[in-house]
Amino acid sequence: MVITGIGLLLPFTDSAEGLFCALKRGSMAAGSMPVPELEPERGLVAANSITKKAYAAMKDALSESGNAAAEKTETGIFLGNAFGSLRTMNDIQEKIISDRRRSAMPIDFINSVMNAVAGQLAILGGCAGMNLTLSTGSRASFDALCYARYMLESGRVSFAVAGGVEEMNDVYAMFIRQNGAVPSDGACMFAALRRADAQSRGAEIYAELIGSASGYKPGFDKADVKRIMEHAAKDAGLELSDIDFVVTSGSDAESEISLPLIDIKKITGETYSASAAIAVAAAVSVCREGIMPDGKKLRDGINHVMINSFGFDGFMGSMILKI
Amino acid sequence: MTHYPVFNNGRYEREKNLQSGDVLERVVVTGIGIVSAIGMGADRFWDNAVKGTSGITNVERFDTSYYRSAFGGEIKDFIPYVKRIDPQDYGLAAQYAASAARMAYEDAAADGIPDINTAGVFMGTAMGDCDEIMHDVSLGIMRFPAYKIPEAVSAEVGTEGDVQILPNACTAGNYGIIAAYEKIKNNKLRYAFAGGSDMMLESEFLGFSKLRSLAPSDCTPFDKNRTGMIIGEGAAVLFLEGLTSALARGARVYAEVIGWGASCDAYSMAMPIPDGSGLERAMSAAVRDAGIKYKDVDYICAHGTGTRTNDSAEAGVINRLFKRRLPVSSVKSMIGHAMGAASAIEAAVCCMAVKKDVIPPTTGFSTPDAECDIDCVPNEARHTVVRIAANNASAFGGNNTCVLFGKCE
Repeated sequence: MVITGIGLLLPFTDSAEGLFCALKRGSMAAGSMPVPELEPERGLVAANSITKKAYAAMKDALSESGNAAAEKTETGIFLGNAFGSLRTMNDIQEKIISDRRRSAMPIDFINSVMNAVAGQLAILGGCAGMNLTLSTGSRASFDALCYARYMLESGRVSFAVAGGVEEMNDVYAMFIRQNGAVPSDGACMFAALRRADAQSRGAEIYAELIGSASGYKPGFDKADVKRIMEHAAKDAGLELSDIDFVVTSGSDAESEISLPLIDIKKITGETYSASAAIAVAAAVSVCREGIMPDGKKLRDGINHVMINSFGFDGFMGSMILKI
Repeated sequence: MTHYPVFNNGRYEREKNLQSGDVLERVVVTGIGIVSAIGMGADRFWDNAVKGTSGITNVERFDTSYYRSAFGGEIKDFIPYVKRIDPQDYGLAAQYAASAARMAYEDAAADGIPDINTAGVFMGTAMGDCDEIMHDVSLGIMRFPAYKIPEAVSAEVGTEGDVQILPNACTAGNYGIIAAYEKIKNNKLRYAFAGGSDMMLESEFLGFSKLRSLAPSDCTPFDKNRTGMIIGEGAAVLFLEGLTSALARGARVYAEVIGWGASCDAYSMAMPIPDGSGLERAMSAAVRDAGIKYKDVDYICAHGTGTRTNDSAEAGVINRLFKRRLPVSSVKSMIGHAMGAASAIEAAVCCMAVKKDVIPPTTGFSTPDAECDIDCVPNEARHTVVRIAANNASAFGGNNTCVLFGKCE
């Protein structure tokens, strides 16, 4: 699976280049981001704020991907999202508790279902292939990318829109803070397809997902991190020593990795289910610039980059990109 | 032994495997656990489903006076069937899931599997335990995330493999089974617990009342006078393993998973596309995937919600694709719509129909509807050979899935 388009929305930037600049500056820029202003179109009336954020990122990814798109019935959506419906669900529950049920609207309920964002994206984008939401906590967008890869390679879809989105609200912020992190908004979507299809359509290839491994263990340790990383490298046909740099998820258990590291969460904060997708965007931006955020030059030619997703919730994952 | 194509997956993967010579594993269901309004455990559920027992009762969990219906497939007096986890650590949907998983574990005699700890967990849900933060945020915040459902299953059955939660509304159970099937088929995993779980929420009564989808009292799928759906709850977990493993340990096999298809209507969040074209693509993809013909399917466990739009669209698709009156029934007439658990429970129905050659009825049926001109197995179970059963599920967001289960004996 290759990536041919990236759409990224963070509180401080709306591009991968902007993320690279922020990484170079090195100061925390977490927070909420405004709802993007989108051109009026049918379907947006029913979209809530998180859907609009995801849709803005999706539109940018598809725009970058140009004419690489496939038949709508063969275009699948794979979305990592853990708390997407929470704000709307909270609103409904408050109306029930305060006996204001009459003021609840049907669309509120529809948007309170956990796969609402992916469903809305399908309608807005006319994507009629399979439509999958993953809620594997901090690893959700990682899983979304892995599913997209598998479904592309197995011929279930010909074109994939994959990524993750998370949006600030009181409960989400409390949940993240209780786990010692700084909560933040984030949306990052990719256009992806099989390499041969991308080449035949003349699409620019940003990165290729060539291997991955994942696991689940609350309270994982350094040995677990090493095991998952080694499995991912093996899946890609590589050794860990072949990896040029690792975009870490900032966990303590990753602190002894003996490879060049980039910790984007020091800049972005905890974007939870969107974090792995944002890490992929960061890796692409670093390789495009040819230098690490600390100024160290990357080697010329193809780079192998490891994206780590090791969350406080016990979800573990490593993927290898060829960029 | 029934022989299905070994390379029964997507066309690109099929070509890749034909080239590489990799052997794909056949995937079978050897354990079933169910928590439902008509009984706990596969046997009790099945006995009641075949008898046409109704689990629809007056809802007691919350005040229903504001809503269009006071009835639901509520599980009364639930006692968690768990041995390892503390139920207090989890919400009700996670407790349902863990209980169903424990039953599936025992039904499969999984304690005799030396490396059962490597099993993965793949669960679906629509709303999870989001209700947990409604009353006590400080307690609920530790119990409401959707991943607590597969975590509870994993902790209860003592696995160390990966866990996933796929919250794809009413197709979620099917998606959990699909995820497990693909892992085992491709030799990435030997065993998996897969299914779906959901608890009945007041917000669902509010939402479906607003959408005018709730039936006042009875859920009568495919009936001319059907008035809508009844909300239910519960969980079902299937234990899946490779046929090689099942044969080696002499396990009882309910059915083999032989193919699946999925699509999205991309039309409306809450209404199926009227021509049913999304479900049609999912069903036809499943049949292609399994390498079978439409005539090979003996039974369809319908999505069959009892709403006017769903039932007529689904019946239309079935008639277009199959061109004959094959048995089609909806167990939602007995247990209501269990949301993210629905297609998992109905997958269990398919497995047991295939195993036992019995089709449970659609209850409450009295008046045929020209828009649903199908054989809905009205009111009485039917004893007939079921070689292949299809499990349909559609959902909010326009999701459609179809999973096929075949005899394996």
